[in-house]
Amino acid sequence: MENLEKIYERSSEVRYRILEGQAVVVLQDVAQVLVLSEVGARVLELLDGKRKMVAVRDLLLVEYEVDEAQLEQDLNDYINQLKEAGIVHCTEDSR
Amino acid sequence: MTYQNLIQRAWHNNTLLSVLLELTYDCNLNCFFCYNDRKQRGLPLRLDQYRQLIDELAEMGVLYLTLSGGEPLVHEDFWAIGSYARVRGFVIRIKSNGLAIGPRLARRLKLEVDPFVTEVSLHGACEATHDRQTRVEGSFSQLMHNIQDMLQAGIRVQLNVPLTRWNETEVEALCALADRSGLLLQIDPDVTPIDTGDAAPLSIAPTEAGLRGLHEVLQARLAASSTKKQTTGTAELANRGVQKKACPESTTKHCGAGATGLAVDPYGNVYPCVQWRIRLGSFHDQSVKDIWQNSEKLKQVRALNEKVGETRRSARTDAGLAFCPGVAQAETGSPFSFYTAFRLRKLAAHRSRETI
Repeated sequence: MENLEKIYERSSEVRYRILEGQAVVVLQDVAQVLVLSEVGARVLELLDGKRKMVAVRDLLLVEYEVDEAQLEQDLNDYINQLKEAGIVHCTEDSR
Repeated sequence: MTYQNLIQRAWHNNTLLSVLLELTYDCNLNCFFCYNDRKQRGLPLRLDQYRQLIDELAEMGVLYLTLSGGEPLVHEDFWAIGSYARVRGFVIRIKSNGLAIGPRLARRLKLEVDPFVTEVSLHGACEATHDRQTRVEGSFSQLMHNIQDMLQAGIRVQLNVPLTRWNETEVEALCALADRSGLLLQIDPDVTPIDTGDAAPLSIAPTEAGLRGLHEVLQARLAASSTKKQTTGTAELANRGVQKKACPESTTKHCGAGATGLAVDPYGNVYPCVQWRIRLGSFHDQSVKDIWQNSEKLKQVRALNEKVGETRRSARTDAGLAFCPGVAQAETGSPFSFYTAFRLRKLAAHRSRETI
């Protein structure tokens, strides 16, 4: 993973709820609705602007049966997708 | 899974997604045909109760919250309620007449409440018509200024036009007005009785010719937009798609009333929908979760909703015509019966088809 010390948080324009085990994410500014999978929803919940990525990774390792290296790779890809979609940002970037 | 699939599941499983709060029946306009029962009395919900209600709805997974009235901005705790709803992560829709939202309030609204959309009522394409319906001189001119202020503040604005016989000849002009500022536009062809059942507002319901005119203008716009794809965006999905639009395929219910949506009046009374005024319980006495899970009346409403769905689906000649069981019940006493506005729309659609 690029940097396990980084902290991510959901963008202020993002509204979301867990529905039927999945996350319905509304991007207010661009008027878009996205649906994230159960694991994707869990990651989104954990990106609270307080936890470092290392803590997110460790929690997911406890909650899901997954290889650590694979998880780091998937998490890295997923965070990049969320960043691109404007759903999350790194707290350091907003300082 | 797609959003549409999730909504279908929510309809099927009775998952509460969308709640409308009527904060007050007070209003700074005096519209002739308003459906609110302004004489209704009761114990208004206090700010601490609204916070408790909002917390409960967030915990239940409700995503869409509408603040309505009367005029919601005249409620003394509007800002506290709106900003709290924002903090609790709701997609907020505000239904306002827009009269008070000048530049200062528009900026404050964006900053503190950050609604997904603010729907303002427009009653005509010109001052004479609009002010005639609102019975407040200068309200059209003020609204036009305020819409620009809202847009400047970064607020997404939708115009809601209740079609009446006073404004039915202005449909094209209303569309042009919306298009000029790039605003979303919704024209509601149904004038409904007052919530007491008083049918006085129906005296200015649109005529059959007016409805036919609306149908033709909308058909023409639809044809034009099929070549130039329009973005409907989340306004479609966020609320109307959940609660008001026709039932998603593969569910048996007719609409979202009591299936994915609820309404709460200023006195804490809970209803399946703002238009289906069957009192399910009171937030003064019970939690919304308790009402949602255990109300016998709500179970009856859901059963009725399914029966209405069954009846309407079998009426193939009415395909595409929205039917509201709540309005039917208010006007006729039965959620299955044809009500004035529906009969008129049915007739207008039939004649339009004959003409074509």
